[in-house]
Amino acid sequence: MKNTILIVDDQEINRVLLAEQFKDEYNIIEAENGAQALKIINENKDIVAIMLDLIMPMMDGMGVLAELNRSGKIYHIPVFVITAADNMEILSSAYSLGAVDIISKPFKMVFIKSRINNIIELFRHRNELVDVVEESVEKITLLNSRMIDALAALIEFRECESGAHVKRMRAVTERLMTALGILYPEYAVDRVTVSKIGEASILHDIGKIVITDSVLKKTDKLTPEEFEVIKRHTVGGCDILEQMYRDIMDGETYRYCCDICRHHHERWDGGGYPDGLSGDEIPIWAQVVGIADAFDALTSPRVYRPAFEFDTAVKMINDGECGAFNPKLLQAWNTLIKSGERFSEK
Amino acid sequence: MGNSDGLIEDMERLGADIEDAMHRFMDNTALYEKMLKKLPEVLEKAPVLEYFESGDLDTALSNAHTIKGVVGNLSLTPLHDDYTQIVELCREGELSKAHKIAVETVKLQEEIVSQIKKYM
Repeated sequence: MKNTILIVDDQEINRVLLAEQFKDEYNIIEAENGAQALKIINENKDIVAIMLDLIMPMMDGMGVLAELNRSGKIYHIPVFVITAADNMEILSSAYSLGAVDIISKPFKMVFIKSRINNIIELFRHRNELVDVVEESVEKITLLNSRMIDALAALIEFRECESGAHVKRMRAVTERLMTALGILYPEYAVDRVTVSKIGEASILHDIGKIVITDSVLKKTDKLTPEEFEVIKRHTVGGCDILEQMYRDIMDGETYRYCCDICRHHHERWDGGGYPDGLSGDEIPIWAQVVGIADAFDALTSPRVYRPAFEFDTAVKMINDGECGAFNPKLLQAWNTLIKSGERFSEK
Repeated sequence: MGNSDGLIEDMERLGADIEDAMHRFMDNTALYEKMLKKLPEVLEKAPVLEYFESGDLDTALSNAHTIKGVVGNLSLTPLHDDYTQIVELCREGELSKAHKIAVETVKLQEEIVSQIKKYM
């Protein structure tokens, strides 16, 4: 099946000349103005090149280029600007909006045909490569996700935490991270990053899998020595991640996992562990997981106490009973609660 | 559509570069003649001198630019040269010079149009 070239020019003579050159190898669609061109581009998936006049009624060529930029189509379809102008300013604008080449009027047909065919071929290869890369990224993302799931299953198997806890942690982390970014733009990250941080939060207690049962499952009060052993799950978690995943996990996710593992028990006033970091020395994603973990611990039953009620737990967090948190983070936390967020109450 | 025998010769007499045109139209004389017959309508829809004289220089320049592209593709060299000059002079702000050329150009243009219309 032939691919399609779109020729956009308000002058029929110019369109016919170009169509004649390419009609044997391609389907040709013609448009008389920019608005018509955009409609055709949106309705036809097999357009492999656009020849675009700049000065036209309805919508000019620059308008079409701007719209193709906005939709991202400019990266997949080569656009050749048709112009009788040698105005450098106009040509520079066209190039900066993504035009790949200029077709000058009067047309020099031999050159036009070669140039256009070459660039169509280059874009075809490029688009194929983009597909291959996207497929690979998808596989790597899936692999990352599966690795994290496997570790989470291990944590659950070892009875360090329940699977429900792990799921809640992820949900609270993602919602709080998003709310924080909306209230305080200095902490804002994009949606993909929020998702990676949420995924990394699942592994916050991975270090607990190497703590002996006699300490981990002890129902009586821990001795100071035993508490020191428990504290080691933060640094120990990073060691596990480093040994198992440093080389195969994507760099960004690995960083979030390590930061969260090591620092989710740090506190804003420096009163946490293992490094006694304070303020924004603590990575914000670790701060977010810290509050989510403290809240989940309060609302989960323990052998030595029942679960606290939701409102009581919220008050305890605000009152600093689980250590000091970033005031901006608390603000975002309370905003979420006031908006009716219950974090999938148990 | 009328018989076109003689149209190309008439255009050549008025300065068209037929060799250049045939190269662009891939020796398809019928297509060239067909496109020449579209020219009167293009010129009618994009007057230059009128807009010049009414003071609408933006439209005059835009129309001159459009015609420059079309007559260039039809290899009507004298017209293409004139419109190239008109566009350049307008951009440089040399409006009286541009107007002077436009007055002369319209005369040639009318002659070309009347020749083409003989074959329509």
